[in-house]
Amino acid sequence: MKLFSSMHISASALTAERLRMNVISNNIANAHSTRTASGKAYQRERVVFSPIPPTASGAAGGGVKVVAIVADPRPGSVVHDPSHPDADEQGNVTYPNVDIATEMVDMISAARAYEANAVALQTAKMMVSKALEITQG
Amino acid sequence: MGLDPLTAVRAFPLQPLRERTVTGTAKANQGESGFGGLVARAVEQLDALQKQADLAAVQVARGENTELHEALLTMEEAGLALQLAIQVRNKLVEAYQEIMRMQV
Repeated sequence: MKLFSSMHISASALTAERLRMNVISNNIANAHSTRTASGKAYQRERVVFSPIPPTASGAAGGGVKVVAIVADPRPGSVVHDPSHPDADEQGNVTYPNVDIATEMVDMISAARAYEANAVALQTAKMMVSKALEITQG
Repeated sequence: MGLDPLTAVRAFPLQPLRERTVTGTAKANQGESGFGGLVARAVEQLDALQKQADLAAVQVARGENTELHEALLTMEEAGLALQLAIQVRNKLVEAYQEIMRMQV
């Protein structure tokens, strides 16, 4: 229903931010994963947001969606630790390129964005409720 | 411009409400025109929204793979749709009572 379209736009953003939060959590969880299925250290991942195009011309867009989760290609830090099971011939271990401070900042950003969209949803709901009060009194 | 007080009324002649039998739901599905069909369709849509909200609540309770805010949004939608239906009904009853109070 047209009445609820703004609420659906906010809901799509909530879904996208939750996925972003999941990716950030996964980055933090794997901050020390030196071995993945490919044999290399874990690579930090990022989400790519993209707007959902409007269904009709002159209408507002349909919200946001995550189109891709891409790996950060930057190399990870190399630490000399010969006793590590994943150390190479020189005794160096490549750790994931996850920077905890960066992830924390991203996490706060995701949480605040979620909050903002939740408030937008509440406001849209309030507008519908106000419209329903027109007939009263 | 001369104003004829009855222009508006003549433009939309009043039509009797179509009679609706108890088996009206089946009829409404076939696209019954008129006021009865309109109401029946609206009630069906309302019912569908309520069922959606029910399903969402059950899915969340079962811990199925659903987004919590999606479920809450569905419930909110159903609630607002019900509010809208109640307002429309209040307006209808009001109009009916207004007409019944009319001195003939």
